[in-house]
Amino acid sequence: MTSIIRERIRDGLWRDNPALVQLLGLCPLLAVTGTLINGLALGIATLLVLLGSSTVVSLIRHQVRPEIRIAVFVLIIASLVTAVELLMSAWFHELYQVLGIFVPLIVTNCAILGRAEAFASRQPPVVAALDGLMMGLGFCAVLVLLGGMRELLGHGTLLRGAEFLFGPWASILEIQILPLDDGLLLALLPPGAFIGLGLLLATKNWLDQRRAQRPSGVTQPVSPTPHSS
Amino acid sequence: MTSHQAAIRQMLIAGGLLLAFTLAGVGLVALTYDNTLEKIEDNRRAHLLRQLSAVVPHTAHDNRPESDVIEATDPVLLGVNEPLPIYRLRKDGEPVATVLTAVAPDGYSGDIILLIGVDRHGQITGVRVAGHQETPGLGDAIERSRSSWITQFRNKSLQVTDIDNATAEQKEAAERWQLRRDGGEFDQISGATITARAVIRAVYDALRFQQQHGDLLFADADNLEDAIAAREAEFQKQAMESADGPSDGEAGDAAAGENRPETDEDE
Repeated sequence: MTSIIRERIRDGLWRDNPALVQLLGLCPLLAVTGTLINGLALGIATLLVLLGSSTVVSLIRHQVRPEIRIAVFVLIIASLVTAVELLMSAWFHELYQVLGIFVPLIVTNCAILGRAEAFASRQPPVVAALDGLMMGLGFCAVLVLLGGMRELLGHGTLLRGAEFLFGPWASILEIQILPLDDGLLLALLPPGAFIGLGLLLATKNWLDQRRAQRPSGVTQPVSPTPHSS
Repeated sequence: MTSHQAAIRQMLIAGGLLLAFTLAGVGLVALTYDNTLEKIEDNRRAHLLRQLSAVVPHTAHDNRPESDVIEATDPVLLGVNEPLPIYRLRKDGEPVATVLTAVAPDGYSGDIILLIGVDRHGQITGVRVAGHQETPGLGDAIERSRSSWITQFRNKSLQVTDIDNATAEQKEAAERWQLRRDGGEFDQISGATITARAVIRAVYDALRFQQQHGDLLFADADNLEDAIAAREAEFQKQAMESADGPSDGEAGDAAAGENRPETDEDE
């Protein structure tokens, strides 16, 4: 059982990361990562939907017939996304307005339907839920990382707009790291998102290759956290 | 025959399942909607009030502008072909200021939505950007959180009552509504000339709109078209009552003249 758990964690966060390896859900990934907080907010929303959809799909996997399964999955995902959208509008209104269309567009994130079809519909609920959680975390981590990179280069700050997510007190969380007046505009524009994602992909592959080249024999401890947290 | 029946049975089961899941999904959404409706409404209102208080100090009025709205459609002066809300601010029942919603359609990318507070004397109390897609780092300097550029509209006014019959001096005043590099008196935003020009133009047009309609913006109607129609009907009625008095056209002119001294006084 522990090996299953460990494998789920490793797959979601690193080896099968939805954003870095499966390259799914790139549209929101590239569009909203102007700042770290924006990335985090959409990441959490996606995580909630993914967790919910994986669990529900797994629970009903014996009832749903193959010929209607995709329709049912889409229904489940769409309902969950609408619910999350309403909740977000109720509790994080400012953020909801910043993210705009990308919250409802979580429906079209293929990472979610992909996980439902390829994994959750064949696994018991606990494993599916864990998988959803880990895939969501992996996706969220990439959003945060990319958002942080772009914000740092574009504005020279981190955690700008934290008050939208955590309440008014959190505006003190914004830290100026680089003394930039204008910042690197490229980082904030869409090409900056593509370049940033490319750099992340390259870094991940480089790390993987370096690990593969090391003399194997001893099982490598799985530690995806240093990179993806 | 039996295979036929079996196939139909299968279909019915599949359809029933789909229906069941649809109902469950709708149920979930309906439940969430019901529970968040009030909170979302509150958020919207709070957001709007925050925006309004940025363009007109909230001490200046004592009514609830979010529910004192008149809608107006003016593609030329307000920028889009759709009705836009105009919020009316009153103190002790007396009109104090209006907050116009205007759109600058000719920004660098997409519409720039503006909230423009104008007091009774045609003077701007404040302008804020309510929505835009300008380039981050350049055009987004129109946001108050990024720079103070937008605050230079404060206390500006048209100083021209009728642009078509304006004197040379008044025309000069109108020309001041441009960027410094175009011969006007507004600071530029480096790297975002198009954005700045669009905003200045939109604010200028909105002021002209405000001047054109004046007190009619405070009329007791849901939209400006109704208010205009109601006023015209009243003029006609007056003209009918004084049967041997002046004709319709003259009555209209007289009424317009009646209005004009007031605007002059405002200037």
